[in-house]
Amino acid sequence: VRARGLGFALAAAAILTTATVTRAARLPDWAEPIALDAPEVGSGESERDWRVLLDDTEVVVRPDGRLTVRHRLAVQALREHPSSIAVGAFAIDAATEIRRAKAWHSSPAGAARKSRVPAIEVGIDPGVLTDVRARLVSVPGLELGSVAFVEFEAVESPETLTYTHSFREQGPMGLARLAVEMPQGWELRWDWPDAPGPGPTREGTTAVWELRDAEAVSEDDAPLGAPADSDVPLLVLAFVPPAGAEPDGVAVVPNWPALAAWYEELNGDRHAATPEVAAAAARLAPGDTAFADRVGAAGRYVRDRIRYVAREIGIGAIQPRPAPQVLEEKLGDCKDKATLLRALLAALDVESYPILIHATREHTVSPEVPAPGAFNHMVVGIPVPPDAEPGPAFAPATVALEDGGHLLVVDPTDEWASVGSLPAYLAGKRGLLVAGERSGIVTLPDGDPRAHRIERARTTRAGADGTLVLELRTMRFGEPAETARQAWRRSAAARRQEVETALVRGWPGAVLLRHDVEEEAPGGEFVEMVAWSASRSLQGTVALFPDLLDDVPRVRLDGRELPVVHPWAWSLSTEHRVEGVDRSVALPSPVETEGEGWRVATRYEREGAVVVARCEVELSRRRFDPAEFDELRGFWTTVRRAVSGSVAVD
Amino acid sequence: MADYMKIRSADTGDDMTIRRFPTLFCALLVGVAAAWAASNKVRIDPGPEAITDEERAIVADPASGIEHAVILVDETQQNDAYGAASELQRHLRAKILSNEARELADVQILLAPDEKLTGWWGFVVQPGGQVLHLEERELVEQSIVRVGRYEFRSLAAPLPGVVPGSVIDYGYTSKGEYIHAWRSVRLQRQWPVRRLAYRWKPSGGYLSAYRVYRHEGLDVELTRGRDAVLLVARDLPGVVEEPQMPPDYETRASMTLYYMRGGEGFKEFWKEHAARIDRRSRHEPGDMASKALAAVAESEETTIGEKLRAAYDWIGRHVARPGSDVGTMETLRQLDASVAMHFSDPLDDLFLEVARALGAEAHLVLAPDRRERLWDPDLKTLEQLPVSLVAVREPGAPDDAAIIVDPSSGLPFGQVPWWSSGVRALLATKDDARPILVPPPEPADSTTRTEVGIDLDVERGELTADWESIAAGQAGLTMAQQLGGRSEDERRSFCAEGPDSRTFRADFDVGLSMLTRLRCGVEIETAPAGSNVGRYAVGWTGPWIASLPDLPVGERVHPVLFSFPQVEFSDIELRAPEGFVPETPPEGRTVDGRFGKYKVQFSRTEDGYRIERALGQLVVVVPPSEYEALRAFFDDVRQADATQLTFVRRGLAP
Repeated sequence: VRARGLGFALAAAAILTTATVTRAARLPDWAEPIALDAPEVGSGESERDWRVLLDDTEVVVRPDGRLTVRHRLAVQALREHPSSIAVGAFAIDAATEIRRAKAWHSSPAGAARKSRVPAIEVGIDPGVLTDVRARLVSVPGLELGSVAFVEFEAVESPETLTYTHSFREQGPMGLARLAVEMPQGWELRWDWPDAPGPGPTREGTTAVWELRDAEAVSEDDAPLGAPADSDVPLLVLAFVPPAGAEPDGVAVVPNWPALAAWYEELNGDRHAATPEVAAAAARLAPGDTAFADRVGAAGRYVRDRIRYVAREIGIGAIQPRPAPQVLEEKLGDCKDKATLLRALLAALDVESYPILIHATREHTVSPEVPAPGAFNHMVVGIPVPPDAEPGPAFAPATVALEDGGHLLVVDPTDEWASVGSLPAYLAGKRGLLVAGERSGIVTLPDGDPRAHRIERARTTRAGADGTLVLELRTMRFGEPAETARQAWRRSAAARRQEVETALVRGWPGAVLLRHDVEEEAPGGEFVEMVAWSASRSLQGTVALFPDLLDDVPRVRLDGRELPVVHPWAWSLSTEHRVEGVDRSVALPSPVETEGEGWRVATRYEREGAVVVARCEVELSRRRFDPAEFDELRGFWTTVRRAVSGSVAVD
Repeated sequence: MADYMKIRSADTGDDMTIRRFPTLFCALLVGVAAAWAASNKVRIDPGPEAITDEERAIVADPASGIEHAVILVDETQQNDAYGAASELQRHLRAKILSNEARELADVQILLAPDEKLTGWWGFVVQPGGQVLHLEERELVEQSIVRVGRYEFRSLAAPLPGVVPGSVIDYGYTSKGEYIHAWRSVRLQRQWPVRRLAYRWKPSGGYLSAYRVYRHEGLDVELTRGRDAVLLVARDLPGVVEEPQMPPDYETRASMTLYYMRGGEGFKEFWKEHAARIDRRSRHEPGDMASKALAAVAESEETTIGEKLRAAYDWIGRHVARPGSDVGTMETLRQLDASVAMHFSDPLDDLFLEVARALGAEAHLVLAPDRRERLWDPDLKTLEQLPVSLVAVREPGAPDDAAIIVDPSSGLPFGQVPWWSSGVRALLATKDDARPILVPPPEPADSTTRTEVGIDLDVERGELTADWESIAAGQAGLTMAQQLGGRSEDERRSFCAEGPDSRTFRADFDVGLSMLTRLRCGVEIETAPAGSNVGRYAVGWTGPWIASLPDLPVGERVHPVLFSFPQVEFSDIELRAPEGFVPETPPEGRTVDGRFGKYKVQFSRTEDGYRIERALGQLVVVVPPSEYEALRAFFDDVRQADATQLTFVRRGLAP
C-alpha cells in the first residue's frame, strides 16, 4: 500500500525561512469557517505540538477510470515556537499528476496569509528503488493557536477501480472525512476490514464517511504492544461501472475472484519453468526426491541465494519480473522471489500459487470488497499432495483448505525463516490465493505455541577436580530460531563472545569448554551446544531452570494503559539432569497450573543420584487488555515461582 | 553531504567569501609526514573481469577481522581544478564473503543539481567466473529532493548476480560546476580495506588545506605533488564496534579536505576571533550584575577567590539556568539587555561582568564537546568549539592558575560538564588566543550516596524497597539530565523498570550546585519461601545500585572510555522477613584495582542485615592493554555484589 494522503510535521527549517515567505491573502472558502471557529489555545504546555481540525479527502471517480483526489488539511499549533513550520505532504508516483499544492496561515489575530515557500519534492526512501516521492508544502512562522491550511489536488491513474483510505494523522483529529463521487449508474462497494465503522451519508452520487475526535496515532510501537498503526481506521472501496461502461486501461474488480484473475493476467507466464530455471532446479533436487525435500531445496535456494532488493518502479511495483531474470540477477523483491520459487517448483513437478498478503499490518482484507491496497507482500502456497508426508516440521506453515486439501505456505523473502516455519508477521492474516478457479481468501495459521518454541536439555555433574561441568543444548524453532540465526550470521564471533561473557558473569571461574552451532537442523531448528566448567555454585546449590524466565517476554505493567500483545504464541521446555544429588535432599514440589491461554508445569524425578527436572511453559493467547493484566501477572508469577527451584549438590 | 562553497558560514553568519590568490595550490599538511613527487596522478580504471588468485585466496576469518567482506580497492580522484568545474572519479572493488555483505553491491551515486555522470562501469565476477554487467542505462535515477529547477538526485541500482565468493567492481566519473568547501573522508569503514587511494587536486585559485586523523599505526602514506595530494593506505582494518568505546573521531582514520576563507595563518585566524570574542564579552555591569556585586559586598569574603565563589553561588541561587525549573528565581528574560549572546550564554556573560568588576581577570573559554570531536587548531572553524566556559584568576596569575567554571551548567564553582573536561580549549583574550587545559573532574567531585531500606514478605514473595539517592557534581548533572522534564510515569520507570516491579514513589528535585535527589519506593515480586523452608537466601542488589559497565570477554581493540570518574556509597538495611532471623553475616569483600576500589561489608542488626558498599571508578580512559584487568575488576565487583544473605526461620536458628 503506498503511503497516500496528508501528513504533516512541525520542524525548524532554516532554508525555508530566510526569505519573504508569506503574503497577505484571503483564505480559500473551505478554510474560512475553520479559521473563524478554531478553538482558543491556552498558553499552558500542551503534550502535543498540534491538533488536526480537519482532514478531508474527496475522491471523484471519472468515467475513464481515473481519480481526481483532493486533500485538505487544517492543523492548529498548540505550542509556541516561532521557527515552527507546518508541512503537508502528498505521495505521488508515475501514475499521479499533481495539479495543485497550496498552503495558508491564519494567525490567532485573524490575519490570513498565503505561503510563498516553494513546494518541495522529496524521495520517500533513498534505500528503495521506487518512483514514489512526496510533494511538500509548508507554512512557516506558526504561533500558538495558528491554523495552517494545506490543499492538494491530483489526478491518479489506478490499475484497478479500487481505493484504500487510512484515516491516519499524527495528531488528534477533530474531523476526518472521505467523500467519494461516482459517475451516474456506477455501484460503490465499501467495507471497514479491521473494525466496524460508520456507513456513509449519501447525496446524489456522492457518499461521505466522517470520523470525529480520533486519537492521535503513535509514531512508535510500544514494547510488547500492538503495531502503532493497528488502530488506524481503514476503509476499502471498489467502484463498479454498469455493464458496457467499463473504462479502458483500468481493471474492474467487483470481487476477489476478479481481482485474482486480474493478477493472474498481470503475472502471465513469468513463473514458467524455462530451460535455465529447469537446469537450476535439477541441480537442487534430483527427479526422485521426496516432495518435502524438493520444496525445501527450492525454498532454501531462493531464500539464501536471491537477495531481497525492493525495486518498485512503475508497473514493477506490482508486476513480478520473469523468473529467469531473477535467477540470473540473483536479486528481487518479494514477488520476484516468489515467482522464481514457483518456477523452480514447477520444474520439480510441484504445483504452487501466489498468495497476496500484508506483511506489516493486520486486518486489511475485507471478505466482501477486493482491493490490491490490502496487500504489500507475496508468499507462495504449495498444495500438499495427498500421498506426501511432509512431516511435523512443515505443520506450522500448513493451511487446511475448505475443500479438504492442505496448503504449505513458504515465504522466501524472509532470509532467516526455515521452510515449514511461518514468520510471525504472517500469522493469522488473510491473503488472496491466486489459483484460477480455486482463488479466494485464505487465513494463515496462528496461535500454535509449538510453532515458536525453545527446548533446552541441560546436565550438571561434578568434574574430576571438584568443579562442576555443565552442558546445555538449546534448540530454537520458529521465530526464536530466526532471531538466533540472524545474530549468528551477523557475527559468529560476537555470539561466542556473548556466550562466554554470560558464563563468566554467572559462574565463578567459568571456562568455556565447547560452543557449537548448527544453523539450520533438518527440522528447521537453530541448535546451540555449550559446555563449561565452573567452581562450585553459589552456596552449594544448583538452580534447576536458571535461564527459563529470561525467555519469557515480559514488560512493565505498572501504569501501562496499552494492551500487551505478544507477536506470536510460544512455548518453552527444559529438561535438566543434575548428577550427584544426595537422596536426603528435598526436591521442589511439582507445579501444574493453567490459566486463560497459558500453562505452566514442572516435574521432578530421581534416577539414583540423578535428579531430572522438567519444566514446560506455554502461552497460546497473544493479547491481554489492561483489564486482563491480572491474568497476565498471574501467569508471570506462576512461571517465576515454578522455575525458582534449586537443589543442593555434593 | 559536504557543504557547498556558497552556503552561509556557520562561524560568522556572513556569506562565505573565498579570496582568490595569485599563487596556486597552498596545501598545508599536519599530522602525517608527506613525501614530495613531481606528479602523483593516479589512473582509475576497472579491475580485471576475473577473480585473481590473490582474491580467490581470501576467505572469511573472523578471528582476524575478516567476516563478511574485504574491500580490495577503494580509489577516489577529486579534481577541483578541472577547468572551471570539478571532476570526481571513484572505483570500488570488493570480495563478498557472506550474504550479510551483499549490500556492498548497492550502487548509489548522489548528484547535486550541477553534477552529471560522465562515465560508468559495473560488474560482478561470480565464483565460477561468470561475469554480469550493470549498464549505465540500468542505473535508476531517483529524486532525493527537488525545489523548482534545483534537484538532488541519486543514480542507484544493485549489481546483479552477487553471491558469497563474488568479486564486485564498479566505478564512475561525475562532473560538476561547483567545488566543495569542506570534505570529510572516512578512511576506515566496517570492512577491512586492502588498498585505498585518495587524490585531491584543489582548485588553483583558493587557499586549501588537508588534515589526516587517527592514522597512527596504520600503513598510510602521503605524497604531495606540485598541485595535488595523494593519500595511499594499505591493509586498513575494519572498525570494530565495542561497548564504552570512544567516539567516531577517535576510532577510525579519516581525512579532512577544505578551503580556507582568508589568507591569514592559523594563529592569526584564532587570534582575530579571540579578540572579537573578548570585545563582545565586555560590558558595563547591568542591574543583575550590580545585585550580585552588592550581595558579595555584604558578605564577609575577603580574597578575590572567595568573592568569585560567592558571586558564582549567588548567581546559581538567583538566576535560572536555561531549561531549569525557574521557581521563584529570576529568569533569563529579566537579565539586562546589555548581556551579549554572541559566543557565550547569558550566565557566562553575567559572571564575566561580575568577575571583572570584582577585580579578577576573566575570559571566555571556548571548548569542544569531546563526545563529538576535539579541538584542532589547524582547522579554521569555530564550529569545533560549541561549549562556552569562563576562566577566572587573580590579576597577573598564569593560565594554569585559572579556575574554569560553567555558570550555565549549574555545577559547583570550579567544575564544568564532563564532556568539555580533560580537553584543550581556546582561551580568548583581546591580545591572544591560547590553548588552555580544562582539567578533568576528580572522582570525589562526583559522588552518589544512597540509603536503602528493604522489607521482605516471603509468604507473598514480595520485596519492598525505599531509597534515596543524592548525586553531586557530574553524577548530579547526569541524573538531572536523565530525569529533568520527564513525566511522572517516566520517573517511575527510572526507579525500577523491571516487569516484576511496581513503583509507588518517584520524587526528584535538583538543588543548588547540581545536588540532585531521587527518592524511590518500589515493590518487586520475588520467589516466595515455602512454609517448609527453614532458610531463605536473598540478594541485596536491585535498582538502587547502578548497573556495572558492560565489558564482554575477549580482546579489546579500542580504549574503554567512561564519562567521568565517580564514587558511589550505598547503605542498605535489609530487614528480616516475618518469622525469620539473620544468620551470621558473610565476610565482606574488598577489591582494589588500578582503575577502581570496591568494598562491601555485612553486619547483623537487631532485625536483619546492614550492607555498606562503596565503589569508586577512578579513571576515565583505560587502554586496550589494561582491558583484562579492568574487566576482572568489575567481574570481581559483580560477584561480590551477588553475595546472598540468609535468614533462618525463627526457632530453627542455633
